[in-house]
Amino acid sequence: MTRNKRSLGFILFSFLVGLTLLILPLSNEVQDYNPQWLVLIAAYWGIAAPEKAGILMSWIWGLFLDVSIGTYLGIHALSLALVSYMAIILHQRLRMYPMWQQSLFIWLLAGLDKLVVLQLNNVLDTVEVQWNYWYSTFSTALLWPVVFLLLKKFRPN
Amino acid sequence: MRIIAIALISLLLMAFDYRQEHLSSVRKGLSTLVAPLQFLVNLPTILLNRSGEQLKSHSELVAENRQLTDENLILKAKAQKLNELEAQNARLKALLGSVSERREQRQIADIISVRASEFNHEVLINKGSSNHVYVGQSVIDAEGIMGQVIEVTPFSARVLLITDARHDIPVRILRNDVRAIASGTGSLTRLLLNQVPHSIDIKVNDILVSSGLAQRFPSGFNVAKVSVVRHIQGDNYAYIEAIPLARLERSGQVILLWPNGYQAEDQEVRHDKK
Repeated sequence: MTRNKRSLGFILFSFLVGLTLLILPLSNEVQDYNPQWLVLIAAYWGIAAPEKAGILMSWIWGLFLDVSIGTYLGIHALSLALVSYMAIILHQRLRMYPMWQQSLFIWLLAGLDKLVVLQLNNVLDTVEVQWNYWYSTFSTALLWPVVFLLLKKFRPN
Repeated sequence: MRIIAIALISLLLMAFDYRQEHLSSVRKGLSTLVAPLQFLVNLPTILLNRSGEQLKSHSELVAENRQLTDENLILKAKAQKLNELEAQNARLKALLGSVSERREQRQIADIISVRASEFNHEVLINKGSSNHVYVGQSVIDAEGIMGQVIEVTPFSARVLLITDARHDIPVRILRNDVRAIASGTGSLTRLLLNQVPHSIDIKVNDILVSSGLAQRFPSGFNVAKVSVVRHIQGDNYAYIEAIPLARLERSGQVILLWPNGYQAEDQEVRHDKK
């Protein structure tokens, strides 16, 4: 029982750290490369502990992201829930993959997240983005091994 | 199965949030929850600025102080003139039988976060409903109008900048009082003037001030300077760009305006008016 509580606490904590890193005030140039931390964390828990951290968890943290950066409520929530969903339905296969293939998959997930956010925004207001909108998908994919190993090392079993 | 339910809920939330129905309280609640986090992530910046002040040398401070004293003197001299002009203006308006506009109440606030999504131009300030900040309130800096408050929590408020693509502000040309509407473009250094006929007298470097129409922004504050005027053959309207005068890209201090008849009579606001 206490073990369950501890691992849930750790999951919540990791999401909180992810959100904090995501809303750090950075200069515009650096901001473009700030990885999508919540995508990384939602994907990790989807793959590593799909029975504990489901899509609902990602959805709620997506809502928090929406209010902290002022997008319409539900946009990031939905995109993160989708990321989580993809990771969960493919988690058995993903666990077998070598690290670089996982990274490639994370890159696709990060792209999916950005695409969903962009398109949903586009429905409500017309928005235009340049190429730099997509830069962070690459840093997200590159950072995947680091996040994976860190979370794996520190999570309570 | 669950993902479908969640997608539907999300879409509903978005639709309601877009139309600003029912959800403002949900949003406000969640915003209040994340407010401490926002203070936390901006703490390093604030501390860095503070320590910068601490580490300034004595001579630097003296020099700065002297410069500010000079500036203050000049501004005071200007204010004397302004008081007289205001009184005169009020008399003349009274003679004409129109309502006199007295000066607004103001209060200074700090920008605590400039982090917004890629699509929005918004900043977060450290005054909220506990300081009687309200939605729709005008926010200016020393140079001109910055934007308006769109969301209020007890101790912070979100300000939509005039350059956001969702924002329009009614303006007039200072030189000849021609009216227009300046729309945000999503670029911090560009506003577009909509539907200005070719025949209108407008030149590069004309100053645009708020017209006070629609009663959202007070009239007469600087908004932007015209930078491009182009007459394209075949277009129905002239193409006019302007550069906002407020320093939107800087973080720092901003000024909140209350219309002078504002109801919530509280000490702080009145105190700051002096």
